[in-house]
Amino acid sequence: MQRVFNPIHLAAAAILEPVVAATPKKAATPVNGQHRGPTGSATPTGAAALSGRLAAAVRNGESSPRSVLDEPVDQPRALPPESLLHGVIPATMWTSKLGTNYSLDDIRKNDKRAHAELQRIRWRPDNSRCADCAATPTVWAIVNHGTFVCLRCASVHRSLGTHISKPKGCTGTYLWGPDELQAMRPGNRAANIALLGDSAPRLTPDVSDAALREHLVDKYEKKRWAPAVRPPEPPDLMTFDEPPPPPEEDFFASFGV
Amino acid sequence: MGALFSLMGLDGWTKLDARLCMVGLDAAGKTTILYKLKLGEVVTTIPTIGFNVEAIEYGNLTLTVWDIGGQDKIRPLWRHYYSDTQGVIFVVDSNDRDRLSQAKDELHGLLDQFELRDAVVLVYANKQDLPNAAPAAQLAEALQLSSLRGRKWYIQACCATTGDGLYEGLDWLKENCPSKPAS
Repeated sequence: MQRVFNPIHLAAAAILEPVVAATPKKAATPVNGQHRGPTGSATPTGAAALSGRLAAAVRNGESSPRSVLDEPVDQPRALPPESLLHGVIPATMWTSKLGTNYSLDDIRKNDKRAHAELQRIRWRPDNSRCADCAATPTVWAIVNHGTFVCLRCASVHRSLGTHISKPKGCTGTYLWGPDELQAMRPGNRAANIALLGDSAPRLTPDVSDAALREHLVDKYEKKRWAPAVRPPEPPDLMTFDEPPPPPEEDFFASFGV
Repeated sequence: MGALFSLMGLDGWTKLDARLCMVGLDAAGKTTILYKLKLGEVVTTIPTIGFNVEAIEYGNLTLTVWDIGGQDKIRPLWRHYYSDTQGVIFVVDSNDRDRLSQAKDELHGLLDQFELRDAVVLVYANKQDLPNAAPAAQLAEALQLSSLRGRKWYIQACCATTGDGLYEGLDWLKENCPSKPAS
């Protein structure tokens, strides 16, 4: 209930809040205590970039991480005192929902371009309506099925379990990997050919919650309408209004990484 | 003071408050847990961008639970909610075995935060009703909970949609979460 006064805490508090000019009374400076970052605007990427560089420095066998920490970063964030670290190195890799590992730095660096690519796919005419209920706008994507869906259907997909649906938002709250963008390229029409065939009922946006859920379970979990053998995708499905996209391995190369 | 009340047999009588942060990867079930505890029913949730906060009364304890969105790019915002937090509820989708290592990284990353140095950790191993759900013991290993030295933690298997296990988690919090007399 009561917090015990501890000079280490005081020292660390001064590091975590460089603006507060509290001078530690004892020189009980924890590891990396020398770091003072600029007090600029807070961007989420700064801390991770710092962690990434620190981990890289540790890997490269540098004797002290000071040199890395002394570099200016976007956001002041000291590492916690040594006593609180328990041997887990901050993540430097990022795993897409399709299971591919990428460098977190690269994914962050290319975030704007990845989203531009995502929006380009999402704004195609065949992706403008929800693949499940035909509502607009299509603000979410089910990356393992390659469908763009509305917020309401995305909410139901989230409750089905990740063994059936892997949903991601398209409005900037997620990082996107090249493999996920590649999976979205065929679009709603191609996905619905594979999942619904010709015979399945098509829903309208005024469908009830219960009927929607039942339809999605039938469509994605039981694969009730999926043709037994999927027909090969017609090659012209990917060329609606533009030349075919470059192959996947060129995605980041085109960014100049 | 808690000990004094306990001696006097008054510990069930004093009103206590605790502030908790509920975090975890996206679609782990945080919002569903929050409203199942608050309302006793399963509400249809939409993905949280930002947070939900509810006061949950459990016996003489009032838990102020902040449920914070877990999508990739809004996770760095979690740290803005850490100050004056007595406990962390970390929700894991037990069925999503592919992302357990991501969940581990996020959990250990947040427990490295200075402001959470005294916080207790309750891990809800959610979605136990799904076919491929990992049991709590396996999750504890995957999340490397045993490496949390000097910290009180507890893992509770649960299913937010039926409510199974949720109150067992709260029981542990009631015994172990530092709380203060209601103001």
